[in-house]
Amino acid sequence: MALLMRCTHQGTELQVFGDKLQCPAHGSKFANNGDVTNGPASSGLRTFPIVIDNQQLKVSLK
Amino acid sequence: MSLKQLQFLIFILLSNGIVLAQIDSALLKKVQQDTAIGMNMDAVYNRPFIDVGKFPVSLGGYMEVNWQHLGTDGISEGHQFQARRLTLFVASSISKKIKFLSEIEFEEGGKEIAIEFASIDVELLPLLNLRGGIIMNPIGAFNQNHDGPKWEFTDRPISATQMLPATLSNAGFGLYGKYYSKDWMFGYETYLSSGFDSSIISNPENKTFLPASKENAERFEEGNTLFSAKIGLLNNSYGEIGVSYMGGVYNTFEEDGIVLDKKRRLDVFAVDFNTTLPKLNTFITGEWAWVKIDVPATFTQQFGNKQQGGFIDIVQPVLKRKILDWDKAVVNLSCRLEYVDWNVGKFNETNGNIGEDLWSIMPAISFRPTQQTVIRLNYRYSNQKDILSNPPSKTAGFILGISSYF
Ligand code: FES
Repeated sequence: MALLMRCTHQGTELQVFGDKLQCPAHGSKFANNGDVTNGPASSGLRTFPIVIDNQQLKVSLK
Repeated sequence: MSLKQLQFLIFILLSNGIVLAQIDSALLKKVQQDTAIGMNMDAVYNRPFIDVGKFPVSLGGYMEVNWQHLGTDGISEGHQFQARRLTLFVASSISKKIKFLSEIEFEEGGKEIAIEFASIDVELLPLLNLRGGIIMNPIGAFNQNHDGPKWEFTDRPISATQMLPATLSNAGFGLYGKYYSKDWMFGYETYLSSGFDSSIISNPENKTFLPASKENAERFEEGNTLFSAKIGLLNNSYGEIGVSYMGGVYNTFEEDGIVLDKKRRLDVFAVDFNTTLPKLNTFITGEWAWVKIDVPATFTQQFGNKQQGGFIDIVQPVLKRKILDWDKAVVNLSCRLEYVDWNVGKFNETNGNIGEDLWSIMPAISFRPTQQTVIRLNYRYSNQKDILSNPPSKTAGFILGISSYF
């Protein structure tokens, strides 16, 4: 699964710390599956399915 | 999925354009063509590729409106309507690992406009980020975490705004970083910035008053150097504690090479913590700070050389369910306890305690239709003693407010 690194609160790009993602703007935190663990964001990150096809990794944006 | 993979995927996502039908157009961006002339062999690259580019500038903010009815010693101030503040927040990713973040605050209907925060952050490593600009000094927890909608109370803590003085930001540079391992997180911040001036002991309040320094419009250009630093430790199940310090010379000790006074320092220590109790889900957060100032001996003891104070908020969610059209609405019952001693110590002559302390208790009920908006009703009861510890003046009343991110 791929994540869109865009905070669901007000759209700031997230920073990666270990297996967590944090928003530098108001401190929302997300787990590596995209779930919110800390507000003010209230919904999870946008995720995209991936497939590994013959050594190629494909991210579906649909 | 391991972290490496995760980052790799994110990287792929951000750098590759994959043309598929029915893709949300917000994710796509046309590549600019930088040359009009191309050879036939270039044609293959010259197609209108679609790219996932840098995120656009994000724009947001929050605002606060209050109604209050307070009285001191039985004398009412009547109904007061206050549009306390409107804060605009602009951020953008300049390029990979380089970000711009800013926060501009309009207070009192626009009479006071301040850049609270405006920084360029360059991420070298997760543990090593460079930040430059107008930074928020990391003293205590409230100064940096002051967004209205995050709190259950209409007023900012007295110790954090009148003593410390939030929101304190200065022009400066520094480093910060974080490190995660399983349930633990360690973070640090350290900055060199512009700092305080002698107005902290010569101001209309006639007491040692750190916020006086913020009146000086020149503080972003010149003045004394302030060092500030904070380390924080967080555990997912126990909570977070932070220890912070800021200090530096505050007076003008020389001018044009002529020594006017010795260097006089200001030092501030603070501790903060927050935790959520298991099962009950009670959220507790607080901070306590100690201020030490080298006040010239020629000053009367009215100007304290030591101050201390803090607050603690206890927030108990009592209802968490669908209310009207809001699926995850919450109702909280909370209480804030505050204390500030503006002048710690005893009088030299009489050995009696120097008064000037204040305490306040503020029960609250708040309703959050979503995490980002709060409607809150507070009752304040506070008690302020003058310097001679005469019977205190009592303030009491109701405050109702709305605060929301937008
Ligand atoms: S934009 Fe991410 S927490 Fe506000």
